[in-house]
Amino acid sequence: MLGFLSVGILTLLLAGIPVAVTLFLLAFGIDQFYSFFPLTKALGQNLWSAADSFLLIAIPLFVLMGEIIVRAGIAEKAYRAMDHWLSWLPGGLLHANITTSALFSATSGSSVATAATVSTVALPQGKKLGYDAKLFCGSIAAGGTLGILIPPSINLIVYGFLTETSIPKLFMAGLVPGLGLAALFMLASLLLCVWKPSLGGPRQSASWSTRIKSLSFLLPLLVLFIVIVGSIYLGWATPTEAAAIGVLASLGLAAINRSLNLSMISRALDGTVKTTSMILFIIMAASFLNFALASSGMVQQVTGLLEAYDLGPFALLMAVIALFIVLGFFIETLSLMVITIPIVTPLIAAAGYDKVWFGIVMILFVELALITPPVGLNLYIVQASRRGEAFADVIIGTLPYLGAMLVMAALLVAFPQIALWLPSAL
Amino acid sequence: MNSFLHALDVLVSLTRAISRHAARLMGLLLLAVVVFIGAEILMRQLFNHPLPGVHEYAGYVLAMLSAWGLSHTLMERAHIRIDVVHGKLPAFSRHTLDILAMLALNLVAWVILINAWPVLGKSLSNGSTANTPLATPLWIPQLLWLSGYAWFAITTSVLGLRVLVAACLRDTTTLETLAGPDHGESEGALAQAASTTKETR
Repeated sequence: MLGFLSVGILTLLLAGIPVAVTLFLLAFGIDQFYSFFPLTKALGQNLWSAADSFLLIAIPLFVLMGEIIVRAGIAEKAYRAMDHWLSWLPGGLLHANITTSALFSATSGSSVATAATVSTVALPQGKKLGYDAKLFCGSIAAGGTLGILIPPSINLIVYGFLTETSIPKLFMAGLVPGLGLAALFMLASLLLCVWKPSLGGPRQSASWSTRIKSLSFLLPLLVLFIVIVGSIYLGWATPTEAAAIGVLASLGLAAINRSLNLSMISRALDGTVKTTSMILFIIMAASFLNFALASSGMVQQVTGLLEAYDLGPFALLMAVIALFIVLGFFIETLSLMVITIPIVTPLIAAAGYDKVWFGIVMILFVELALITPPVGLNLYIVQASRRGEAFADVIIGTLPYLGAMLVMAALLVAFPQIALWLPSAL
Repeated sequence: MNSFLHALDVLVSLTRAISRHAARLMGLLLLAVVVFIGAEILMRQLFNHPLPGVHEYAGYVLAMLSAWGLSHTLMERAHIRIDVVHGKLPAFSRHTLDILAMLALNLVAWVILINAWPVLGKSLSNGSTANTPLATPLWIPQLLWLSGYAWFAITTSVLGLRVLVAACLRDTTTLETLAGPDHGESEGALAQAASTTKETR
């Protein structure tokens, strides 16, 4: 059955069958060939109970909030403020790229939206000021991945939903590693540009009065972040309620920015419905596949196999990480999560690891998958904003940041408290 | 044959239009959920008087969205497919895989519909109500949810038929626009949206 599953997943996905359809087909296949009782009979009830969910509605709401912020032009101003504050450092605008991404990801649950927004704002600047294209693109592609680690995060909601882990805890656990990773990205840029100044661009120092004035551009994103994360942290709101507050706040910010109008809202809603339906279809498929795997004894079979190899917990963890890295080259991120979660998480939990902590580790490797070719969505997003130039530049430029991610992963494995300290203080 | 083709194209546009309107309605329902959740939090925090039913109805909206959004997403080719191998194949294999993907989609959509039907049937025959203070008769939200899957199944069949006809006529342009993967166009559209907002200021 393990063979059927892995060959089936890879064949169907690589043949270009839609991801959700692939997962459903595999579940039907398990039902046909490996199950003693008919699982498909439970499909309807399964889909209804998964979909009738107050928790999952956080996903469309966070997507909607991101869409509104993107379309309200708030990110561009934030970028300018970051430029005034940070461009005196070696590496100049590279730091603005990373910090704007970090800040923006704190108000958007999606890495793709983050990278798309920062690309359109930053790339023209970088070109005008003569930055090295490789590192400049790399910093945007990598910075954009912070979107799914710093809360709110749609991927963490999906993980929490499929593994029955507390989402407020996951959000809190992602905060410190997310900020730490942003700091590591900045450190990597700084060191590279000190070592070889031609990799960066002109360092510009803004006057203090410009800096103070530009703070007002950062305020909207900070307020949004504090409202969302603060209300969850203090226990005033569930993640879904915080998302609804976030949508209302982002509408208010768009109004202040004079970009609130009917056509903007209707386009934001259309984008939200499309993105959400795509995500929900995959989640529904994954939740049914989850059920099929559990009912047919798949997890026990894998556990038995691993016991035969006598892997210790640490070796198991390393094997799982290796699996993420390899699959991450070829498989898009959400799919990577939903096809591995049903099999991997029970094993990891049985080996004594914390599910909240493992969620953060998994997200880190999902971020890595976002910038590893040939299937690395953020690489393409950055490339889409600079048509006609070499794609290889973007790939090479992300290498230092890939290194930073691996350092962060090693730190997380060595010191799980980096992730677990904040949620335990909850 | 020509009039058949014409009728089929009208059917596809009609399906597309209905799917788009359904998606728009889902968007408006989402906005309504936002407003109601906001009101609920205010009532609870300020007046210590929670609004009943907001969580329950928000759940129903999500169930409806999960079913009714599928057709529009399909029409806009926004369901994720992995085209790392697909994109490198010669045209004939690519088109064959597109048709297979379309048939697989039909299979899944109809299997879902057939197995989702008993959920509604059971609620109707048992007169089941939600386990909440409002005790909503479950058949109402379930009917709205199920009809979304029914529409999705119909959409996949209409699209599937059009794609098969296009394949028989060697009309590869139609085949690609209806069943081919979307080459990051929707992501491009997002970047575009961000840049147009930038230009207007």
